[in-house]
Amino acid sequence: MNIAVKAVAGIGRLTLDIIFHLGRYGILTLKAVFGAFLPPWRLRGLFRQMELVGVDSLMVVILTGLFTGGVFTLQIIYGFQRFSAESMVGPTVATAMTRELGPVLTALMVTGRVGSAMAAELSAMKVTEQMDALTVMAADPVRYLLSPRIWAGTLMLPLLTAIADAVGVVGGFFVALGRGLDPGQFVGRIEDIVVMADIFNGLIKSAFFGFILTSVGCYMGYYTKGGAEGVGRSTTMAVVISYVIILVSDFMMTAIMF
Amino acid sequence: MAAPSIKIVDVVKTFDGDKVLDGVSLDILAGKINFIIGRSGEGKSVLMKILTGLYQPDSGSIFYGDKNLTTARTKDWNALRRKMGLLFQDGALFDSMSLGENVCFPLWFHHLASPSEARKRAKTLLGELGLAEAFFSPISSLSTGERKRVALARALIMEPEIVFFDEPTTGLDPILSSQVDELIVHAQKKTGATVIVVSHDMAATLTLADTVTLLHQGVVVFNGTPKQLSQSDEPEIKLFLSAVNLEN
Ligand SMILES: Nc1ncnc2c1ncn2[C@@H]1O[C@H](COP(=O)(O)OP(=O)(O)OP(=O)(O)O)[C@@H](O)[C@H]1O
Ligand SMILES: [Mg+2]
Repeated sequence: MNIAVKAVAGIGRLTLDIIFHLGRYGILTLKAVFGAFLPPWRLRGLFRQMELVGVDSLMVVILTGLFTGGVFTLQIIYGFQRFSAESMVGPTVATAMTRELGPVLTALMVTGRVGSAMAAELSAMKVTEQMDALTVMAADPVRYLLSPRIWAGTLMLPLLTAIADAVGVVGGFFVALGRGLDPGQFVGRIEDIVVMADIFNGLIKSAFFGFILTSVGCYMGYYTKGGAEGVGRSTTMAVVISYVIILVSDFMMTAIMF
Repeated sequence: MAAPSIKIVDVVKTFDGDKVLDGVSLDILAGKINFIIGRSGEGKSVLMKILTGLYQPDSGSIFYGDKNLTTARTKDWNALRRKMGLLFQDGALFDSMSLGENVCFPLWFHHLASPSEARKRAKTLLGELGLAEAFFSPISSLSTGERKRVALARALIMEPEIVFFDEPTTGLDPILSSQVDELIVHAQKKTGATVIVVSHDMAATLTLADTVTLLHQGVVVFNGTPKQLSQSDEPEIKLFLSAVNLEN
């Protein structure tokens, strides 16, 4: 009896917590996303963040794409060869990369690199009163700090994903050659089987992931409390929560889209 | 362009059930140097943050001139903040920027001066604080005293009508302290600003202040001129003064 009561109370508290955070997250993100359109516009801040999210993540994303496409090909090629379905290796790799592996793995890698860094930087600014300093100078930290970060993530992730997709297929191509396929066999049917929608839907997903990983990083940073320990906690939480949301929402979007 | 007076009426602020301010009422004089003193943890910094709209009081009101800011919207606060400067106790410098960028930031952000004009003004101000050479230094390379002076320059660069200094000379050597004191007086004379200084430096309090307020246990226990302060018979004030005198 006692345990049951405790369990119900616990669930209730958890539910309230989740509702509280969702509400606060929603309001903050709306302010950041739409606040960006109010003048004065600060394009310099946006470009700077696009550089940090996009250009600086290139290396990681290329490596991830290359080896994912490669290892995926390695895994499927054996089975496909047994059924003499060599011509399907290329299309399968391309479909998997554009629909799933490209968007999701890029998002996870960029979360680790950028989402965590945003959470850490913003929490440090929060606990050292730099956010308060901005506020007192009539410089809204949400619009000055959060807006460019969230927009940069949303705009750059599709570009990074497109690169990962392409590099992944190239990685698969070379692995396939190494396993005795000829180039025509790999490339030949990709065009027939992979449709624009595969690529396009993948890029839409990635834009959403970019929004999630930056906005969650910003949210955790913006509401940090309690010194250096708080900074560490926020950073970890930002990564864990982003991962979970990316994986769950990927499943749901995939179920709807494809 | 007259600097406003500030009226604080019965302000209460609680943190986690701990009453830090328990009904503070105080008139800050327009165009004067107002000192606020009190022991560590008495809520002086909290009061500054309430006066700049960073914290919301649990109850009570804040008036700037005859405008009630207690329930004001961010827009009204921001209009006021453009005429405000606040030196944070710990500096609160932007560590992603250089020393010079920190000082120029308010001018640059509000497009109040061209970049070269802003740099010129910042260099002049930093020169008065003995930091002209360090314009491009990263914040992380500065000493505590240097940080304090950079933060001071950032608070003053807009020539604000209302300036809050949270312990402007703590962590400075005696020579720098008196330079900073001079700068504060000089800036006040130049702009006619309303100045609020939180300080533990009793010598500065007694010489620079037009009016002194002593906060104790969440309320104002003294408010008057430095002369009245040093002549007061209130036990709490005597205790405070004697303790401070021993320290020096
Ligand atoms: N954001 C906050 N959350 C919780 N408690 C706070 C917060 N800000 C201040 N306090 C508490 O309020 C009390 C007063 O703090 P405040 O910083 O105003 O002291 P102070 O008078 O400025 O002291 P000092 O002279 O040491 O700077 C302290 O006990 C502090 O712990
Ligand atoms: Mg203080």
